[in-house]
Amino acid sequence: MVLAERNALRTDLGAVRAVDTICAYCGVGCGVKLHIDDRDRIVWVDDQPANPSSQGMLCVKGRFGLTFVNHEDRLTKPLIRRPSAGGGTVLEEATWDEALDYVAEKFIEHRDSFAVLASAKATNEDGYVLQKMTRLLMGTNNIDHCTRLCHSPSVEAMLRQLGSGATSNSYEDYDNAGCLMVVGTDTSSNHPVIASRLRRAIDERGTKLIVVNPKRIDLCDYATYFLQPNPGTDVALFNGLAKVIIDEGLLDERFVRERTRGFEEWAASLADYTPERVQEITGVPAEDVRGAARVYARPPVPRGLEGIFAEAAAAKGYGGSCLIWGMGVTQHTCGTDNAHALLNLALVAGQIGRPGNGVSPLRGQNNVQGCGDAGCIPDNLPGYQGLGDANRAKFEKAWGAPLPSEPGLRATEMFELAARGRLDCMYITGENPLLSEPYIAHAEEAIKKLKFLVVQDIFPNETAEYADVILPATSFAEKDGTFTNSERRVQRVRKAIEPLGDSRPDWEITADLARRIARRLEMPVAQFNYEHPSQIFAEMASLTPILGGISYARLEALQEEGIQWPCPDADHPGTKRLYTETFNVGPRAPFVPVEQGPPAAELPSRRFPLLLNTGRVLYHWHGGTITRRARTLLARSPELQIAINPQDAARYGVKDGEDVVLYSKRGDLSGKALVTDAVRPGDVFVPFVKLQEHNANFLTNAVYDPKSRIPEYKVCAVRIERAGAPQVWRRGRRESVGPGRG
Amino acid sequence: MPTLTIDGREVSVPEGATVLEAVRAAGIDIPHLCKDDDQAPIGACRTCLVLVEGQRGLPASCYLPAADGMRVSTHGDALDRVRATVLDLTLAMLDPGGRGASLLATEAARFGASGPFAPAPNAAFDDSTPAFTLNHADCILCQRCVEGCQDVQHIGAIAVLGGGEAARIGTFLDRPLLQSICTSCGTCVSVCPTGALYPRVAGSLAT
Ligand code: SF4
Ligand code: SF4
Ligand code: FES
Repeated sequence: MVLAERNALRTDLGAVRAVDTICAYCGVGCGVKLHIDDRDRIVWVDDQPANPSSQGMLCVKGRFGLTFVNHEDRLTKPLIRRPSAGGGTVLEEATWDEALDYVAEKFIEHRDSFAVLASAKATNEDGYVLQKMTRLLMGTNNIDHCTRLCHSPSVEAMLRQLGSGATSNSYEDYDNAGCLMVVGTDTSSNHPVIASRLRRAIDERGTKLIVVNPKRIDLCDYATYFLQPNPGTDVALFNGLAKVIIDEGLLDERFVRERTRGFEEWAASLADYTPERVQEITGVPAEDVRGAARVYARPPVPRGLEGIFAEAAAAKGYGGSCLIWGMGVTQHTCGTDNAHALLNLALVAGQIGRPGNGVSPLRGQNNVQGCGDAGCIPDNLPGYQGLGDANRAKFEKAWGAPLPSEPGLRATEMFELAARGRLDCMYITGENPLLSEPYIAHAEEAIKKLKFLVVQDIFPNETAEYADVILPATSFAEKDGTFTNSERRVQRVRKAIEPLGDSRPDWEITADLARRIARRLEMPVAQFNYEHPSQIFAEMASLTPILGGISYARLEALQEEGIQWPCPDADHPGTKRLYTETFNVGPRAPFVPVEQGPPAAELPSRRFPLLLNTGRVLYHWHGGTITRRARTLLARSPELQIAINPQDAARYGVKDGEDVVLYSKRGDLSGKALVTDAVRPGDVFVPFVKLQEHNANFLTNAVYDPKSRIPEYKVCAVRIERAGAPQVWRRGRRESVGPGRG
Repeated sequence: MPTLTIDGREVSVPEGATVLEAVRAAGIDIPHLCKDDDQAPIGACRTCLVLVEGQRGLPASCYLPAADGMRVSTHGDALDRVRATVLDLTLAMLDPGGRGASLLATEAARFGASGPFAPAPNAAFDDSTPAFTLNHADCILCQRCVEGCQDVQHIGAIAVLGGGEAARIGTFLDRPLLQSICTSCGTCVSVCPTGALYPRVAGSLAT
């Protein structure tokens, strides 16, 4: 009975073969089986029950959205910008030799003013070769990736308190927790398969859910507590939760005594954060602050626990709590402080390092974990090995030339310097800063000022319009490699189809380019003679202790299992949870006192009375460069929806489904009004996907968290008007009077 | 590890396995339309019937725990007849010209079913989502989609609505899928054995 078999080849859809690989959208890292027809097209995507991260689940993007691979817009030839006959310039097709020789020469010319943006969508191997070229041949640590725009505050805070920026636990801890606290993430949209696991725990195990979000999200239907703080007041809220835990004696005394330091001083800093005061600042009722703190510190023992999870709960007499967070915590000028406040809470409750608990910054891109692991960050060599002499010496010995010791530029700094004309040349791979940077007009100025820009990508994008050379890369489906997901699981990406046109895998392009640069500089060319990604991985593993025991041979033997790092040697099974005995900062993790500051750099004013919050929708991926090219996804969500509370809608004369315009100091965007009480009065919410030429980052503010340099995407002041309404605001006068008002 | 005899062949299966799993481990092909390899049995289709020595009737093997010393037959006069009838009744739920009929007919014929096809009692068609279509005329109510939506994804967008002749897969208040909580995750599409839930061409092909 062919169709009754699970994962049968879908011959009815024209499939002739199927290849197991990993979804290229989000950091969940679901296993997918690509069904391919005789013309090398993806005709169906099946789930992969053997994959421990996804367990046979998939979301709409993985199932119906991977067809972008075959989209006609794919870049298939290298392009070089040349002067055109009528003045101006045009991009002309070129051979790989022409393009790479030209790029090599230009890169050498700008060697002292050069920076690289790596791609968190590319493989570990792609990232490793790219950072090797940057450090070894270009002599700089100016390499970074998009984590700067999403989780750098988490990483910054976690490094200081725990010693590693990675998720401390595994998804299976969510399955076996007594309490799940989900902060600043619309998990059902951004990490849908994790949301499925959370719902399963709640349905089947009686796990309690606490949602912290200024916007009402789908998961709230399952929540015991829904805390809806005013934007930018997370520090006060989390300080308040911690204070309740201490005052009510719910702290894990033994954990605090044996595994933390700085408790007294930190506890004293919480004096002002009584639930009543927290209510004043955050708007969250004091009773809910108390209630949520109690559940987090003393969650029930979930039904049906087995094995290590049952033992851990029995030892304590209560269940574990997982703290899970997303961009809502980090994309603020106080992002790092927010993350510290979260970690303090986990430490005081002892909810870290045991089966069923832990702290998890949910990673956005499919390989944002791996991109950092591979060394695409300005202050660390691969595997988070610092730039100190001993580490450099190890890499210098292996790579055969001296390496730069100065930390490089972070992504946001690259654009600031470029805008001031102090950065000449960039190599941007698989990234589209002109959609993802805050205050796009400003980023555009920066990009325009570059003297030489190379964009390597699969689709033409906004940034590529300013490129001097465009190099066509392949998608995930056309290459071998590995991705590392949000639970540190290194998973095998397998080539399913031949590269489209003349496109080539990123690692291959970079290595070819590097050989050309090395030859001209009389540097070690052989360092870039890779024939297969397995060789790159082997080299990376040999130099990177956390990956030391992982190899393609082992990954193949384990099939869809993957291996979770740290995995120091070939006999090591991999690591499900960190910090069971000690922290990477030492035996004791420090508490870090943090104070609630002003909630945001830009607050509502008479002219811009509403607060804009940005986020995502299930059917699109980030800026939408990819999902706009997956027909099903675009059809499911074709236009921007601007969510507004019914009270404000009435006040500004806006009706559901009507065309509206949002204005900030920096720009405007159009979309359809979605009148819903999911957003609070005073707030509007827009996903940051670009649809019909409109994008939220036209409005957002280019101000940064001073500690991590993350932009404040989450809050800025805006005004809403019905489309076509006359602009009635004048200085000193009343603001917008929509035609709907009497 | 219980050891059973299936059609005279001995097989050992892990503790907790079902008779259906033992039958398949023995390399014998029997229909099992509502049993997903990775999910709990539903027991809705009755096409997985077997004969067990010493037991009355024809139990559904997907639901039956394998026990040591069990003697199971997957063929026999009465059993073959009943199974063919069950398959015929299943085929009778399908639109004779539809996708479900064409996908199942040949397979069913191997087990002696010829199918009293009848015009579909419920010809409703939901094409509200861009990702896939739901054609009730191809549905045999095996409920694998309902199980996938609830037990795999924990979404619970669909259920069996109504009873008897009028029974059909549908959403809360019988709204079109697009207006329900369905997220178009496609799990139901991947488990549907008859193609009643089927990817739309625009969804499956990029160009
Ligand atoms: S949850 Fe993430 S990894 Fe899984 S299918 Fe959806 S986008 Fe892909
Ligand atoms: S597509 Fe997913 S959410 Fe929608 S009915 Fe099917 S299984 Fe349920
Ligand atoms: S497979 Fe056993 S009843 Fe359907």
